[in-house]
Amino acid sequence: MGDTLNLLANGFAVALQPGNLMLCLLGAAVGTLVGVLPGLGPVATMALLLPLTYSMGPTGALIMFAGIYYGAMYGGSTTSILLNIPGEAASVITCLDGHEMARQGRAGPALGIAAFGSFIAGTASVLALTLIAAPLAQFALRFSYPEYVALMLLGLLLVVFLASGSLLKAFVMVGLGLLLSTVGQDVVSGAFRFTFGVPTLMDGLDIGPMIMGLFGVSEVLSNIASPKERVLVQTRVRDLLPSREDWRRSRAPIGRGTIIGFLLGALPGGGAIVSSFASYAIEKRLSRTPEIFGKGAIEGVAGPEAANNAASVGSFVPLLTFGIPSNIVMAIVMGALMVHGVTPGPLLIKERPDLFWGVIASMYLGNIALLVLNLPMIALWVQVLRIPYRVLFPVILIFCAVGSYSMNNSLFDVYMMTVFGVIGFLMKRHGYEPAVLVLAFVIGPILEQSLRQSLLLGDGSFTIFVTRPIPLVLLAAGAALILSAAIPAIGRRRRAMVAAADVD
Amino acid sequence: MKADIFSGLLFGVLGAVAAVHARGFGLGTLAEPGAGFFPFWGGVLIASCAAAIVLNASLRLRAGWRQDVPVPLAVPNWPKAVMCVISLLAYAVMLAWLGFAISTFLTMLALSRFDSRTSWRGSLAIAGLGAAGFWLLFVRLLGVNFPTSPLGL
Repeated sequence: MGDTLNLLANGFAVALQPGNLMLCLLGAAVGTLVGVLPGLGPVATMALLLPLTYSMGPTGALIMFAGIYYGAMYGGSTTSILLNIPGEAASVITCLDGHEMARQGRAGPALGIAAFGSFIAGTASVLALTLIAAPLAQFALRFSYPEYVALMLLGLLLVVFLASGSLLKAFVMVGLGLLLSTVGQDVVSGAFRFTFGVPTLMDGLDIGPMIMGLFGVSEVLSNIASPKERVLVQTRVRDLLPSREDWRRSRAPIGRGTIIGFLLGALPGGGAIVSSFASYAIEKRLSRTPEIFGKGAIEGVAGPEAANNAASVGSFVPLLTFGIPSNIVMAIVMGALMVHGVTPGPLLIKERPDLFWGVIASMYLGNIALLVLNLPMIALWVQVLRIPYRVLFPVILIFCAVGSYSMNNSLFDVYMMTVFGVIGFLMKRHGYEPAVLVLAFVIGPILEQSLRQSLLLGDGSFTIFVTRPIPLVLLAAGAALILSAAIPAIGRRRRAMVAAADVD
Repeated sequence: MKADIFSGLLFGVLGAVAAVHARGFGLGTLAEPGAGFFPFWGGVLIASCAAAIVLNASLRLRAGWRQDVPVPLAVPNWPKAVMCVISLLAYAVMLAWLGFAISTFLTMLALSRFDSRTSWRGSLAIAGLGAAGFWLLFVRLLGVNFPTSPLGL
């Protein structure tokens, strides 16, 4: 315990360095901004900002990206409450009761409880992360290749299970992501795979142009091709502080939302979107007055907003301890770290304590900054919503192009990004989820090496995955999950949930 | 449903071609998988799931099922999306010839013209401020080396 405190204190020393502190605040502010702006979520933003992180070192990059993620969770609720449009996907459910509260003239308390709930959940989750990270990393050291294979397969299956649209299409995306990850030189045999004599492909495909195309460019193309009308509802915002009665009703939902969010966020395949839905469902079920949900129940704002913030912190757990990204946001974070030559995993805490504890410490600071900055600045965020899309889209497209070029000073990457933009646009229109592809792409190289090593270890027999306890349990869980999706009732519920979440 | 058959066929062919191609890298043995092992099974996964998608869709089409999956929304402005893609490709070509400042200005000007509600003055402002902003951020601040134009910009 005392040891952890010491390490955390060192972390604060790192996080409080002027450069890092600035990046933390910048990340939180940018995150809030894109959270507020509908149609621009944390994923596209991190993709856009990836090239900027090249000049700031791994610690600064991670601090900023973390800030963007939880900042977006704060910002998303503002748009949901004021406009009835989710600012980003994890705030979809907040529209239900949050906007209803605004229509009843209670926008202030709704915004207030969302911000306070987010702060409480965020801080409690960082505390949990502080306490369990080191023991979990220790435990992760016991994982050998077969355990890693099973854990990654479970993560992929969970993502498939939660993907919007059909399971088959999600599996196609997994296959494509894994396939694309093999482009370039095989590290074991040195053979060149799928390079077709193109020198640029020999080092493999870069994640930067890929995600900028799949999420940045394709999003613009979708918006241009089928514009959505956005009407800004005029709402007066006053009395941001929730009343005593509001607090009394929100206490338990915030507590439960924090726990649900942190656990679901830490689970491979989980994340902010799922946990906000889970929290809403649980609050409605536990409530003595479920009939007021959807009609301006503050519990329906407090719970999910706490949950999505807790989840954004919780999803750092598998990345920092096992080196496995649990969702698409973490996949991009991992990509950013790998660019700097830092491989997240159980050894990170020993090899780079400055980075590990610095990031955790920055999360405490970022959450405080968000609470202090956001409440007074809500009027400003409302103004941001007035920037018309026709001004934004040329900037976004050029940013993607210049950003892609700047990673390797290569025009090839700009073409690559454009191609991925078109592919992403077409895939989304036909119900194929690009996020699944990117997650599989990031996991691909680790999965391939672990699988090959496992088979080597097991002398070519797949029994190595079922004779060890941990892989057996993980794989059984994954199989149960996919089989359960085939049961009609559960399949329907899964589809209803992902259809509702498919907005960002 | 027809769209599903089309996309399924496309991915089916892609997966099959990839799997066949991957065999050429050497599959190795189970006890010592080669470079082609992983991409081969990746291709097989794509091809088999895509085949199932095609089968599923054609069975439903035959049974007269319609629209149990929402049809993609209409794309009234698809020519504009195509123009955006062309602009990006043209930008990459221009960068090599005209340098950063001029190509960025021209491309942003063209892009902003795709929305008829933007006035010429507005477009010039977006392009001018945009190009200056990107130049400040990427060239001055981040020191990225772009091809320079004959004018040295």
